[in-house]
Order: sequence, then structure tokens, then C-alpha cells
Amino acid sequence: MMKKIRTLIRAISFFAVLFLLYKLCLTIVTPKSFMENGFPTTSTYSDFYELDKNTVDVIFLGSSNAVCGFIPQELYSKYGISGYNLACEQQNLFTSYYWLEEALRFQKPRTVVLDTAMLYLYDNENLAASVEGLTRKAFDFMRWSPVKLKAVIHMPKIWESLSVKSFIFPMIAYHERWESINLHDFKLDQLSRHSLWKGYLPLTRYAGVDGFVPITEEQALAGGADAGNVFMLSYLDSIVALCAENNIDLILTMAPSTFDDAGKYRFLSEYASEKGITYIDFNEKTVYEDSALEFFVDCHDDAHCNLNGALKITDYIGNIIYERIGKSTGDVSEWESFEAAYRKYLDETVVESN
Amino acid sequence: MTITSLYYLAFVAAALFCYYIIPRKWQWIELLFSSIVFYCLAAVPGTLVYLLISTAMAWIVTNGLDRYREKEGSGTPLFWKAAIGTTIFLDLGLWFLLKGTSYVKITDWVAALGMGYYTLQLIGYTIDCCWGTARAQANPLKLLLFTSFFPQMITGPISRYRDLERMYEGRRFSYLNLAHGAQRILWGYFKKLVIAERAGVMVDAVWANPDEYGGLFTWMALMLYPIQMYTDFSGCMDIVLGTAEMFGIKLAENFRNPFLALTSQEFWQRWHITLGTWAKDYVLYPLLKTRLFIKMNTFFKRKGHKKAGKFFTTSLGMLALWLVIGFWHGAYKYIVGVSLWYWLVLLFEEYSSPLLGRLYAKMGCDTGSFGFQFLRRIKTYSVYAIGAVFFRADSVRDGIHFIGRLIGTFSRKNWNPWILFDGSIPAWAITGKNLNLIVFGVFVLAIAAVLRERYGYARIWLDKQPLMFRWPVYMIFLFIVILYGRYGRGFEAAEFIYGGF
Repeated sequence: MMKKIRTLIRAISFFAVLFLLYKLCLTIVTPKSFMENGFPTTSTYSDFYELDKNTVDVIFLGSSNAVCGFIPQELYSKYGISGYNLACEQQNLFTSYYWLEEALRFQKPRTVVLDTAMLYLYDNENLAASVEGLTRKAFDFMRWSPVKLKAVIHMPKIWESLSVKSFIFPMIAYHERWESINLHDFKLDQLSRHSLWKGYLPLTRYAGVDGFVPITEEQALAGGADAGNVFMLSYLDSIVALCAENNIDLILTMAPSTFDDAGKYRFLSEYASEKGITYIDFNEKTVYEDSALEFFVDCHDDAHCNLNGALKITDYIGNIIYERIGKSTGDVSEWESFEAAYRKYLDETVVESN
Repeated sequence: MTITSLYYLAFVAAALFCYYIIPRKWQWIELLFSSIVFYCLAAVPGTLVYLLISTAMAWIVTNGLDRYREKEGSGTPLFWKAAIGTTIFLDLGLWFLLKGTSYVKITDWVAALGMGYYTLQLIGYTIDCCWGTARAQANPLKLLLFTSFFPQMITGPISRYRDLERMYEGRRFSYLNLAHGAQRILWGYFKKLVIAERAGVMVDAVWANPDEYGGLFTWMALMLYPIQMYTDFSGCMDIVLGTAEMFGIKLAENFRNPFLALTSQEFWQRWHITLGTWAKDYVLYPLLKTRLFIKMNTFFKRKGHKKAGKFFTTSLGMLALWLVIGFWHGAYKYIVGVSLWYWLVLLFEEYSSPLLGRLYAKMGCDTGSFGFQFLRRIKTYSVYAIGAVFFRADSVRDGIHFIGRLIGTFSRKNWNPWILFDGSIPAWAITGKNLNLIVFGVFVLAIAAVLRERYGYARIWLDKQPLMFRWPVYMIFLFIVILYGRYGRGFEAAEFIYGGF
């Protein structure tokens, strides 16, 4: 009997050590992106879980336009509202929906700001309006829960290679990275290091893009409406429904971009009006002027705001949110603790030409 | 479901769990059930009917003969000899119809999984029963288990009935069997996924792009292919044998460090052992005992040419053996590359060895020295590599064309020794890091081979080591396979080279 118990203990110990090593190995080979090596998708999501429960009042979602457009710390600094930017590189509306559902497990946001650029990035022929690798990256650091399971089961229907087994055993997808493992793969401490940026990526250059002309109401009325990708639209409907269900004020946006046009503006305005939600298009003339945007100097390139642009659109949207919900009344110590660092950063940073 | 897939591991885990929780007397039923489920998952389920037909024929004829002997005595009358002959003929006919399509395409029907292997097993069993060296299995389902035992369905080994008879007895759960089986499976994955799959990419590149990879690349591909083939085939065997071991069943070994063989004859005693011994037991020896061969021997003896008689009959018997082996592989290219080549090599080796022995003695060679033995191993390896060209080739013509490329290397147009120095080799179809992995893999194989020669199995040596050494070794291997194995998206492990027979 003692021999059997000894054998059992030995087997359990072996597998426990094995499991720990496997987890470590997996963490190393899983692609990670931090601010130093691109869009901070990894730290955005892993850091989100470290926040205290029910402390976030505003959640931003969307693609890179939103990552570079909305500064949660600015929202706090100016309006006293706690926010978190859950947008990521090429975040399609499928990903936005599931990340919103996931966020609702931990936070009770009163407002969700969703950038809608990904409704239009690809045509209807291309159902999966996002690069599959980036979609995987957006889900890699989502914790396992019924939400992730639902997303993972749905995913292979859109992206064949994003199989369920490759999420259950991510090593299948990532073991071949052994040839390209680098310093960033070992920065495991960054996975849960609180940052003042809270999902925002500051860009400090301007490209000097010429020829940006804001959309006018007349132009919009003259042309047809562009409904974008049907599949993405279905997920926009789901996000609208999820927000309504949770009594969340949903604000749709379109960040400053040369890709926007009157057809898109018209469709989203009508859509928002039909659903009873707000739509703010920073490419529309009145919003553009009211927010004091100057595309030439406020944009890093033709689709992403730089720090100055982000400050302007965050302030603009922050004002709208403040009028609706007022200051955050919960625990804002997380935002307060970074306030000095944030102010210092703004004082020391100058946006320069590319 | 391939045996390198996660599904296979999950399937084995489920089958093992059920196997050890049910009463021991029912364990064989669970094995049979698992085998049939595996067959349906790994092959076209409808083709199971061929396996059932062959098993049923073997069961009927062996049990009929058994009953006859119980009543009438130990002889085998003409009727039963004819019945056994007919059964074997029908088994071979069915195999030829479905697997011999390279010879004559009679039908497009899909062959059964592992048909080449189970057909030989059943023929061996039937002949054993006829010779009285095995007792007929009275339970047809138990005989079906012998034919369809799932680990051996992909690439054999060709099991003997008397070796597997113990499979029907129940097994107690054994931690040691489980651990040893898992270790062996891991070793198999290391060979297949880390070495064979990478070497395969390099070899394929040379075969597919003669313009890009000409000259010395052709020779390097020639010498690399046996490593690919060995790690592929023996890797698969390790997975198969490891799986069976977890169920407490010991299947016959198919490999015993073949590249340590000093002669081609020894090589074939170490390579695909179960096929070689099957062919010897059921083709060569019975043939040498036939009246025709005895008469031939007697004829030569009478004429005073005893040695010539032995040479003639043995050569003829070996030719028959090699033709059967080549024919079993299912294409003309194997008859050239396996049968004729090795038959000639073995004959040459057999009859030239006394002469060469005298020559070495005159030259004062120390035949026991490491250097001499190493050179003999290189020679044996090279001889095998030349025959293996026809394994890799699509046809006899393709194989001959490749041999032409080998010879053409020394022409002014193709001679390119600078590839050994200008960085072409690390960039040969895979990256330098991948090439390093192959070199590392071969080095590990060499260590394992030495340990196996000395201790029987490398893991017997490993078992004697302290836990603090053993565990890291297992874990390092596991992580090498997990990280460096070529599997998953874009690297679906190729079918096993020996999986098509």
C-alpha cells in the first residue's frame, strides 16, 4: 500500500512540475506585444485583469484608431472619470463584442465608446475583417471563462486556422516561434505591470498628411449609405444589444481618418439614430471643428491620432460623457496614483514632425 | 487520426482508462472495441470488411483443421492442405486486388488499413496452425483482436500469434508499464517530429529541385535519406510499441540499431526485423525444404560440386525471399531497390567475405580496430542508402534518374564542392537552426544506440539513474518535442513512410 501511495505521489509531483514548466514555456513562446515593440495588446489585456473590480466607468473599444485615440488618464485628469482602453490593433467587432462581454465580468462600466472603423476595413467577400493572427493575439491573454469558450468555439467558423484545440493547447500554434524568441518574450513582469496608459498608445510624431477634407452634412445626404461588412454589422448589433441589456450608454465613434467618407458617415448616423445611441464622427465638419482638430499636425499618419490629436478627441468625448454621468464616484486611486506621472509626461513631451 | 496527433493521445488515454477499470477477463473485449473504433477513425470504416473476411477465413480453416486433428490425429490430409492453400491464396488475392494496383490496376476500391501487415500475420498464423506450432484460436473475436490490435495497424510490426496470445489474459495496472510506454512514445515523437520531418524537407528539396540542388547536394540527400527513413519508421514503431506496452502487451521489436551493422546481412537482421523473420520462416526455410531444392542439392552433391550446389540453392532461395519482400512493398521500384539490389549485395558479401578476409590479413589490417569497424559501418550504411533511393523515388525510372544525377556530380558542369564552405548547407531548404537540430538529434540517437547495445534498452540504463537525473532528462525530451517538433499549423506531420503498406 505504501509503495502505491509513494508511486502516486511521485506521479503527481512529476506532472505538477511538468505542468508548471509547460505554463512557463507557453508564456515564453506566446507572442507578446508591449509598447516597446508595437501596439501594447498584451499588456492592455493582462493589466486589465489586475484592476480592482467595479472601478472602471468608461471602456473604449475598437481598432488601432481607438488605441491611439482615447487616453483614459486624460479622461480622469480632466473630468475625474475612470476609464480603460480595451481597443487593440485591428480589433474587429467580433473581438470587441467578446472583450466587452469579458469586461462586464469584472467591471460595471456606465459608458462604452466603440470606434467603428473595422466595420469597413474589408468588403463583404472577406468575412473575417481582420488579420487572424491579430485576432488570436487579442484572445491569447483573455482568461478562460464561458465568454472565451463561446468566442473560441465560434472562431474556427470565421478563421479556419483558429481552431478550438489551438486555443486549448496554444503550443500547437506557437511552438514554431522557437526560432524567433527574443528579449520581449522574457519580459514576463510586464504582463501585469500597471501603467498610466491603460491601453492607450501615445504616438508623438505627425506625418503632415495634406488634403484632409471633413465630411459635410450635404455630402452625406447627397450619396448613399455604406453598411460595411455584414458580418461585422451583426456584431455591432450584438454590442448594441449587450449595452442595452446592461444599461450602458453606448457611443459610436469614428476617429480622424482619411478612410472615412460620406457613405459611412450617413450609414452610421442613421444606424445610431435608429438604435437611439450617439454617433460621433471626428471626420464630420462640425465635430472636427468643435474638437479643434487639425489633421495635418494632430495625426501620426492618415488614420491614427498622435498625442495632440488624442488629447483633443478624448477631451471632446470626455465632455459628452461627463455631461451624462458626471465624475466617477467609486475608487479612483488607480488613476490618481498616475496623475503626477501623466502630467509630467505631457509637460515633457513635444509632438514633432516625422 | 494519425498517431502523431493529439487525438491519438486522447484516444489512447481513454482506451487505457477503460482498460484498467474494467474486470481483467473483459479487458480483451475493450481492446477489440478500441481497435475497431480506432480503425473507423483512422481509415474508411467500410474497408473493415476486408479484415473481417480474412480473419473469418483464417478462423474457419484453422478451427476446422484443429477439430479434424482432435478426432483423427496430428496429420494434415490433402483436403486441409488445399483448404489452407486456398485461404492463403485468397488472402494474397485480396491483398493484390487492393494493394497491388501498381502492378495491375484491377479496381479503384480503397484498401484496408494495415492490409500488408495483417495479411502476413494471418498467413503466418494459418501456417503455424498447419505446422502445429500454434493452436487455433477458438474464439473468432479473439482472432479478430490479433488481426486488428490498433497500435500495430499503421505500420506493423508483423506480430506472431504465439507472441500475442498473452494479450487475451487480463493485465493488472502497472505504473512501470505505463511509464515505460510513455517514455517510448516520447522517444518516437522525438525521432519523427524533431528529426525525420526536418530531414524530409531537405531530402525533398533535392529530389524536387535538381537545378537548385545539384552536384554534392544529391550525395548529401542520398546519405541523409536513410536517417529520415530510420527516424520516421522506427519513430513510428516506438510510438506503436510504447502504446502496446502501456496496455501491458509486448510487441515484437522491428529495429535494433541498424546503422551499427557491420555487414548488409547484419543490417537486415536489425532493420524491419519482423518482415525479415517472417519471410525467412514462411518463405525461405520452407522453400529450402521442398523436394525440388533437396533434389537440386543432391544433384550437385552427386556431381561433386557440393559448394556450388549450396551456392545455387541458397541464392535461389534468397532470391525468392527478396522477391517476396519487394513484392509485398507493392510496386516495381521496390522489386528493383529492395529485392534485386539487396539480393545481389548479400550474395556478393556472402561469397566475397573469405576472400576479403584473406586480403585484409595480408595487408595487416586490424579488423577489430575502431577505425576498421567504423569504415565497415559506413560501407553498410552507403549500400543501404543506394537501395533506399528506390524507396524515395516515384518509380524505377525516377530512381535510375537520381542515380544518374549522383554519377553526374563528378562532371565539370555539376561539380560544386564550394557548397561545403560557402554557407549553402545551412541554407539547404531549412534554416541553420533547424540543421543544428538535426545534428543534435543524430548525436542523441548515437548515444541512445550505444546505451542500447550495452544495456538492452537505453531506458534500462536510465531507470538506474537517480530521480534528480531521470526527471530532467524526461522533461527536456518532452519540451524538445513540444517546442521543436514539426507539428501543428503548416507542419501537419507527413504520413509515415511505412504507413502505406
